[in-house]
Amino acid sequence: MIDVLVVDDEKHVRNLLVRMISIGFECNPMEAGSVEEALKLCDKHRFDLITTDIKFENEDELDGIEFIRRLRLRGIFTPVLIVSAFATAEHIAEVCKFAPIDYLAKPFTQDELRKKIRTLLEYKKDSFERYLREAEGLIHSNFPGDLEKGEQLVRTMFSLMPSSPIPHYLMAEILTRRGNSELAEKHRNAAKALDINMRGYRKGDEIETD
Amino acid sequence: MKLRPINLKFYVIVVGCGKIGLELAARLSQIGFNVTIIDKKPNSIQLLPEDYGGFIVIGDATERGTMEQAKANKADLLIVTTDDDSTNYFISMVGAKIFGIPSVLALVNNRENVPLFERSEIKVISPINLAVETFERNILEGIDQLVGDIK
Repeated sequence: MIDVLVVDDEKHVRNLLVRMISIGFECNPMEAGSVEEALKLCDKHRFDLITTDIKFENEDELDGIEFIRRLRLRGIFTPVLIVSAFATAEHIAEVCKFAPIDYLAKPFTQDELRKKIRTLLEYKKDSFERYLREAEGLIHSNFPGDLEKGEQLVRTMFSLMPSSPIPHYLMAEILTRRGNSELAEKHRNAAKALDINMRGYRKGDEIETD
Repeated sequence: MKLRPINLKFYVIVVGCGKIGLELAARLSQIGFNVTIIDKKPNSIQLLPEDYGGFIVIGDATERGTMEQAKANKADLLIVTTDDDSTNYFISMVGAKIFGIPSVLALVNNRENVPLFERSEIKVISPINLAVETFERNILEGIDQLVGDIK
């Protein structure tokens, strides 16, 4: 089950996108008609994927690119699929730095959309696993400053996969190393609550159950 | 849910947002087709119903750029519904021959033009022919009663 946010000022495009994504993926789609509305939703909910237009009628400053910029500034690294008829090369160059990101020109077919979403979700999984390896190394390193770098990565992992127990396990280790055992315990409990199969975050790890 | 059987896999381009094009695009999108409607005038598009789920391209469909923007090469079906037969013929031919759309349906307003479209393997919808056929069918269905009454 994936949580998807569809951002577009044109109702007919939102209707179609929600239908198409619901047919292709088991998901829980939400809609926003403006960037402002979308940002509010992103503050309240965590999404696995966001689709957004670039040009918004009656909005000169808050366009799709500004939306993505603000998302990343808030530490939300959810993959974004830009769905627009008006994207220029400049637009694309500007958003490239806000990866993971992809672009699909309107109109599109069901197949095109499905492929783009699959690739973005795959990318998300790959980058999550890469972050996990890096974060593990940093947490267990004794080099000054590495723990902070590790924490930064774990925060990114939280935003990539909000419902995963792994970032909570990692955060618990960071906090334990810092001596904050109380908060560490809270994270560990949160991780266990999310970890249905009690698998931990390392391969072959088994978590003790109560 | 009506959408399931077709699942938006079928891509349809409807040219012309007049009474017929508008209604058709709305219905096809409801049934579960992936629809793009093309019209020159932005105003006519506003008449589309609130629950229309599909794309809108504002532009002249006789221009190649507009058809390219609508991704005509990916369309499974082209429906041409403007009130001008020569425009309909031109767009239908371009759709079939240049963009390779496998199925083309055109509205033919003047029935004298029907043979021309048919010779070019374009499927024809002619309002006059349809009306005459419907009248005829209705009359024939009621003929027994009519003959009986006359007797």
